[in-house]
Amino acid sequence: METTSKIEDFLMSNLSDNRMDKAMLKKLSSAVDKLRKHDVVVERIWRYGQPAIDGIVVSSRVRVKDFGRLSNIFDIPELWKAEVFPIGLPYPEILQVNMRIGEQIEPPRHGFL
Amino acid sequence: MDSCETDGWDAGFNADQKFNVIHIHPTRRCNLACRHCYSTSGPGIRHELAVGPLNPFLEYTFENGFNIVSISGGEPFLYGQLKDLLKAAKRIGYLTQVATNGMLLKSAKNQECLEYLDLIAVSLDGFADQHDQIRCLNGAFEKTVQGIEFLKSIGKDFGIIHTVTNQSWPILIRLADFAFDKGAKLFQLHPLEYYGRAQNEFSTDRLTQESLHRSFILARYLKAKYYGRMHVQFDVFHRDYLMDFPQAVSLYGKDFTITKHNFPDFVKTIVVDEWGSVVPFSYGFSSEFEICNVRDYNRARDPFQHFVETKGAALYELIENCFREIEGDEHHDIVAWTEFVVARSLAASSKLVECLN
Repeated sequence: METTSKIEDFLMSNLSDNRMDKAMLKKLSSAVDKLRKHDVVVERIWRYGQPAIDGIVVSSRVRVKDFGRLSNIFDIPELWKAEVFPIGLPYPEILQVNMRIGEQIEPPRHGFL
Repeated sequence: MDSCETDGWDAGFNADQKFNVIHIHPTRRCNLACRHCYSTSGPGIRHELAVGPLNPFLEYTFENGFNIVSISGGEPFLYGQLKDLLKAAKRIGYLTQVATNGMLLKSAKNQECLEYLDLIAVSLDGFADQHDQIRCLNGAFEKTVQGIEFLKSIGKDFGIIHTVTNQSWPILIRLADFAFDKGAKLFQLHPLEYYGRAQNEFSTDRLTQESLHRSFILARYLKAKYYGRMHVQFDVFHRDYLMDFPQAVSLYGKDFTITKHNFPDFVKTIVVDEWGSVVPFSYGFSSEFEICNVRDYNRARDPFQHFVETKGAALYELIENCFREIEGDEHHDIVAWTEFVVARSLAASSKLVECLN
């Protein structure tokens, strides 16, 4: 489990990256705003793509009983992949949801894994 | 604002309650002359608003849905009648707060005022170097921190207000940690507004959309991090949010008509300046939309009723136009609504004057 400090360093290094241009920031803040609308708490944000930034990954956690709130997340522009990981086996109460927003760099797998 | 949530913070302010705020700027006198001050406050300004005529107006506004008195300035603790004003507001039933630089809290006179305050919002522009540079005073940061520690020591609820600039977004996480460690209940971020002294001091360093995007993302992160422990608020709207919820800026569709009854739903904030002029929404809003002057207040005239009859339609049209402009502007996703609407109100007034001439 990463410490809060490491997560924050990671977030700041991504936001400070001079390749993170206005267009990418626009996508990112739009995604963050849309997720808030669905009551999803954003936990981590990082970029993908080397050397150019192809997109960002937004990681969040939702309770299993609130999972239905994510039914419209594909409204988010350029969201092309969502991965869901149950936390708390054998009876998971929390789901970690990683959403990729930006350019597709692998064959799309729409829907939840 | 920050997409206009009011998800509760425990400082005497109930999350389920509907808030309508009267911002009073009773004086522009201040012990500092900050580079970003939108009201161009500073030392040497003598004029201040008398409490006498303000009292009956506060009774009227309380009866008509307003429930928070927020005192700013200038430095409120240099306002000669602060205690009288706060006492009157509490007697009527208001929740009370001040926005202060926190440097003058320890005097015996000002400690007496604290008794009548529900929340003290202390402005902090960064850590020592950054804060002192904006405040134009070496040691200002240290004095403000002493004020914050004093509030903590007496168990008074307080918040930290930070003006976001291009230079300050990288410190937001550390500043929020600092606020939380000191015991703040509120961490409020306000975008730099280009009025008053800021127009000259920041003319070549206007807050960019990139900085606003970054601050918005960080504010969302901080909101999650401190959820239930410290209220984090960013006074901006995301354009996407506004398009989904136009009612956040009092836009209720084409059939909406402002009446005295729904006036507090439409104008959630009114502002009283040091000359007694009352305007909607924000300091600096065009005087063409003046609601009344508290010095001429007459209960029989019913200022809100008079306002909705004479200026309500024009104000609603202004809000609609602002919304349409934002809707059509894909380059500005993060909207500093109060700055935007004040600018448009002034532009609308100058057009009106041109027509009259």
